[in-house]
Amino acid sequence: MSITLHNRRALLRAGSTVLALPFMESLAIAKTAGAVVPPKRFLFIGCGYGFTSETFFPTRAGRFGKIGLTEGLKPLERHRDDITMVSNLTNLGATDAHGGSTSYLTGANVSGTPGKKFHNSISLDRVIAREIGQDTRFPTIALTDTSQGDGHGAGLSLSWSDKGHPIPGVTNPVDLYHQLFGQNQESAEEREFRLSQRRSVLDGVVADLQSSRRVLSRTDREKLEDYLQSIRQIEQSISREVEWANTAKPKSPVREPKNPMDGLQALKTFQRLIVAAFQTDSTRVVTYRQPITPILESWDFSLGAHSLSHYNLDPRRQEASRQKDVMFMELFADLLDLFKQTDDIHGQNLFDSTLISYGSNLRSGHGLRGCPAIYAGGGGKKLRKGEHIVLREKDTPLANYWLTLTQQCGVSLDKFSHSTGTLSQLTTG
Amino acid sequence: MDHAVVGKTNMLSKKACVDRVVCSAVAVFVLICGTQTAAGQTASAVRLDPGLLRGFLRTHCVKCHGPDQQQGETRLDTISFEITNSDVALQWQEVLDVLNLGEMPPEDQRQPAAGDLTPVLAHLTDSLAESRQRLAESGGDIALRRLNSREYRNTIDHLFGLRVPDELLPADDIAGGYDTVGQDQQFSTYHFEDYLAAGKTIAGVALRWADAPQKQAEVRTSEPETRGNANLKKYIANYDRQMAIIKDGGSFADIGLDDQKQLDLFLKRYDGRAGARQRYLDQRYTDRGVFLVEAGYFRAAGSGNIGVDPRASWKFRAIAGLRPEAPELRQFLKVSASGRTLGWVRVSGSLDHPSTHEIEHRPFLTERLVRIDVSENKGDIPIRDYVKQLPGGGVQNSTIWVDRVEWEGPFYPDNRSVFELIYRRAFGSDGKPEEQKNAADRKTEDSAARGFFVALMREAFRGASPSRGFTRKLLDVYSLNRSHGLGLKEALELPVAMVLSSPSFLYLMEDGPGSPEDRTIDDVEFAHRLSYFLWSRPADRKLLAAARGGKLSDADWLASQVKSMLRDSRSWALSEGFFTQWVSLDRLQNIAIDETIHLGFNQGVRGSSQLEIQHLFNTMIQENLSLTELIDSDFVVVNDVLALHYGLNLPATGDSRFRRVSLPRASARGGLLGTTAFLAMGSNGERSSPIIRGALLMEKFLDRKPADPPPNVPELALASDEPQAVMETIQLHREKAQCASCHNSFDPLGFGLENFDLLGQWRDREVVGEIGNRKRSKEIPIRASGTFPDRDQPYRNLDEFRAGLMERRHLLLRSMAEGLYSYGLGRHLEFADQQAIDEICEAAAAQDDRIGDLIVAVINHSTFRRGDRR
Repeated sequence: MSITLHNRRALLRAGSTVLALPFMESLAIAKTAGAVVPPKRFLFIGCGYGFTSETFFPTRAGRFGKIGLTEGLKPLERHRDDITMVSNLTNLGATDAHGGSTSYLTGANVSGTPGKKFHNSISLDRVIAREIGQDTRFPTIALTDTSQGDGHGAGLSLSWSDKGHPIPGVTNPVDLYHQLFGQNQESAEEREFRLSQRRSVLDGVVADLQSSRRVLSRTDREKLEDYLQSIRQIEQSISREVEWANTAKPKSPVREPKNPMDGLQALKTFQRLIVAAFQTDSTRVVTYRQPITPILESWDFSLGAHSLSHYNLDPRRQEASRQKDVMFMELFADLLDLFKQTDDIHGQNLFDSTLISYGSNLRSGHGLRGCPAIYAGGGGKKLRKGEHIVLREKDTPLANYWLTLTQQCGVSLDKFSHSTGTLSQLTTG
Repeated sequence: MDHAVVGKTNMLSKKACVDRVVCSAVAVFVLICGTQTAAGQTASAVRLDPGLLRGFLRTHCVKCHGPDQQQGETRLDTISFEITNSDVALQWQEVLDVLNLGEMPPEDQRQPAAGDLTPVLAHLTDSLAESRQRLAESGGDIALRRLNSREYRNTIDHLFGLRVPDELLPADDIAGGYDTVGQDQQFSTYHFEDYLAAGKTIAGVALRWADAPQKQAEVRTSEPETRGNANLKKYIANYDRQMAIIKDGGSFADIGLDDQKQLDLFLKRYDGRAGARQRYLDQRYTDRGVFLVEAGYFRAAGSGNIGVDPRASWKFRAIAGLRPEAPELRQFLKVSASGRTLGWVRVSGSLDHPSTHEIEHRPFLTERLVRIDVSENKGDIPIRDYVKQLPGGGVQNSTIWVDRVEWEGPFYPDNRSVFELIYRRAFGSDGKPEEQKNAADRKTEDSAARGFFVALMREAFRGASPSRGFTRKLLDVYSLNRSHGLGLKEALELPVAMVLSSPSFLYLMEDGPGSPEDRTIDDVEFAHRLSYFLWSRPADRKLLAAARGGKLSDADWLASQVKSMLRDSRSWALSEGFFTQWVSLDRLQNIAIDETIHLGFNQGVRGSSQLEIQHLFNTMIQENLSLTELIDSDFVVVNDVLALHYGLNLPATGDSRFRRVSLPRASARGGLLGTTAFLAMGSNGERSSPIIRGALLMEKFLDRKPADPPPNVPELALASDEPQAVMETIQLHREKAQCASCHNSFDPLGFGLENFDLLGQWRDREVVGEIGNRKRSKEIPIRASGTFPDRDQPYRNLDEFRAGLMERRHLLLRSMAEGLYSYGLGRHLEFADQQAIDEICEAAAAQDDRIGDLIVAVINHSTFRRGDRR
């Protein structure tokens, strides 16, 4: 017996007003002087198409030490007491059977929002960054694949702006390296000239808009509001650039990566750089929309991600799909190792201070219900670790999961997207 | 129920009513009623069929979701059958979802029979799709639209005479409608950053060349063997020298090796390395050209870097011949410029009498140097996998020999670009270097800057006057740059980039209405609308002059103007922009065809098949042909690659061009239905998929878009140890009500094309099971029979299938009319547009459904001149 109807209606009623909820009020930014509280960090990995239903998802609830790990999760054996898998989550609002990432971190009602063919809203990483991203050079960093057909759906990364516009992610590890650690060769004078040019450009294009002789209709004005808004945001980013201009970028703990890289090398390099970004406290929030097909190519799989997701068509495909699951979990296990082996600039272990989330809103094949959700790391002290938790209600809103994780990691948020509450099953005591 | 018919029942013209599709599989009627809202806007509700639904609800739902119990807070006995708002739509959506998932009725309750469930699911699926669209309507307002990347490229070409590569621009949006629809476009900071960066690049190149003299065209030649052979000889000489040292009793250390083991290897490899090179050089013809092969000594032959003028184009020629034993599939050269493929040419000459192959290239503005290369066209797989399946020998055996390559240029267009003229008028054309300028020169330049900006903006803003405020800001930036010691061109670059990132340039602005009653746009705006529709670029001088002269209100003049614009080569934009989207050609990119198995799908075929779709439509546009040519035509438009792929047995033309070729009378090829791209789109990458083909056919040719598959319905487990025919596996679809409700209507359509395999090649039999594994596969004859769902009308073969589509040509006309209307206006089709579509179809039907006349009918319709509400 399902309770989808109730949850779903809660979401849909909220409809497009979700966008307008005043997050900021509950997010009064506490910029504590000296930052004595050790920072918390968040990493969200979106994996597009899900996993092989029969061999990846555990069926019994309980501690992994007792119930053991499934074939697909086996590579995480050495981390089994530090990871948690949560079952019975569904991202309400996601309807695209090829879109595991479009509203994964937003929970928006993508295609059912009245008056819109496509709708999205702010993503969780951006919400979190408003509170904890203010003390670092980069409030958040979005990394992404460039492949098509990996089950991510529409969007340019996992991140979406407060207006629900797609935010492009960094696609090349070399670019990320330069953003994080590349030293600026510019003199103060050159910078001042560049920034004043930039300000004049922004003033200029706004002047075109404001003093245009055009008589515009209402719909046209709405469109131009998007343009204006983006100009305002760039102005803000200039202010931020000025603020950070005199702070040298940290020295890189890893060597500069070199192009060209194949899919697998790029993924591994991104993993190292994510850890390096946290380690140097360059950012505290990272999203990564992870590629599939380029990795499969590196492994010499002849089928792409979409073909593998239809694994029921043929026993060979199913075999490959299962193999794919295992290999991706090996990569994830390596990432967890990196976190465990690294301390941040405050001497705090990275694994202990970061919430690492892995998943998608696609389960397997093209199903959207019961999506894969794994978390790890010590970001939230009261979060249960080392077990498979089966939520009591089928189709528990994914937004409730996000809200619970976020709150447990100390971010003051009392509602997110279509959330209807928090999940007490995830916490101890 | 026919999606297209839903909601149009009371609007259909008489003609359409007579032979309208009446779906017998599911006899459902959806009535439409218009309700006036407070705003005076007509929001039309979709009415559900109470007769069908009420009984079903009463039997299966109301016990738990009715007056006595409201389990799950759901009550269905009072639910409205008129979908007037999204709340009602959502309630029904929930009902549909639980039925689709089989969650309701609960397992312990009586389950509905498939015969009862299927019509309910079909009716709800269609009605909800319709209501979703209806609820998103805007009353015919066209949301302000931004130049999409094609329009931006063409607009820059119009102004600057420069070619913009797509990667310079932000990617187009994602919402699924035409790329001209402003409602779906987004704008965020990265758009602005990308436009500003693109603007700087364009401005920089345009300024650098604005006063540069044009050069005389000249021919250059490169003999690829000259350097290549020298390198081979050097390698051999070096190996021989080291061998001589060893023969003279030298040790491994004497030739720079570490130990005896390395030396053994060195000796062992002599024949494979130096010997093989010598044997290559000993062949005839190697002293005059090179044998190309991926794993050989010459993968490609090329021009080396050519310094180019971005205002001009170049002609490139490869002079090549074939080895006598070259199999047909290995007779093609791929020609590329700096890594971008320009086309494919079929070599026809011999080693003694090589043939010449010419291809033209217009460099992108980002290319200062261009390197043109020819290499063998092949599958996107290692050469060893490719050649082992083809006759013609081993990995090292090349089939094509390149004698030399030539290039000729620059060739300039007849007229200087708009930008060049404006620049030269303002600042002269003497191109005086900055270091020779004095204070007086600079003063003259500074005083000319305002005029330059204003003239540029008039052109860039499509005739609208620039505001004083913006002009002042441009001058501010210019002065700021000058005060930092920048030269004229450097100082102009950023202001020009600002013009190209300003709203007046990026958005196709039209003035709002003068009064609430009057929604007509003015003639200049209309001219630009027209030009962006047909050419994806601003109106040219001639059209603007006609607009200012009031000629556009003359319907006959306009019709002939449209026809002449369609005959112009710039109407390629319609084929590239509109038609590829109408066909959903982007789906082809998501089909991963395993080239190790399907050798015929090499890079040339894949690339050409996408172009073929556009050339087919372009030919129809140029010749004003009937839309029925999409169903069947007695010609194809192909290049040499596809001529071979289709087995047409034509002599090679030797160039990369597509041309119209008449088909033999008995040929099954022809129309969109016979193109590789369309047929490959209708495959799952391994075999043809009648399901996907059926859905495509229904959407494109029967004007009825199947609803998206409901999420979460478990996939049919098709895995079977027994090789099965596609038809048998699909049978499963029809046994399950949740699938059958949609699939019943389109699966049986897809069989009509079964004689074409996934690569679009003809077949009478197909191999099923594991391809390449004899034990686990078998060969069975093709059955291309099925039914048209509307009248349960059976067809037995491709001919009858085509005849059936011909009978329904009015649906193809409507489908195309709706597409053109939405693309041309830049907005989604709305309920209130049905009448306009009826009228347009009627006008075009009177002209035998000719594409040019259809386009004229769209443009001549009053909605095409309508602007927004106030």
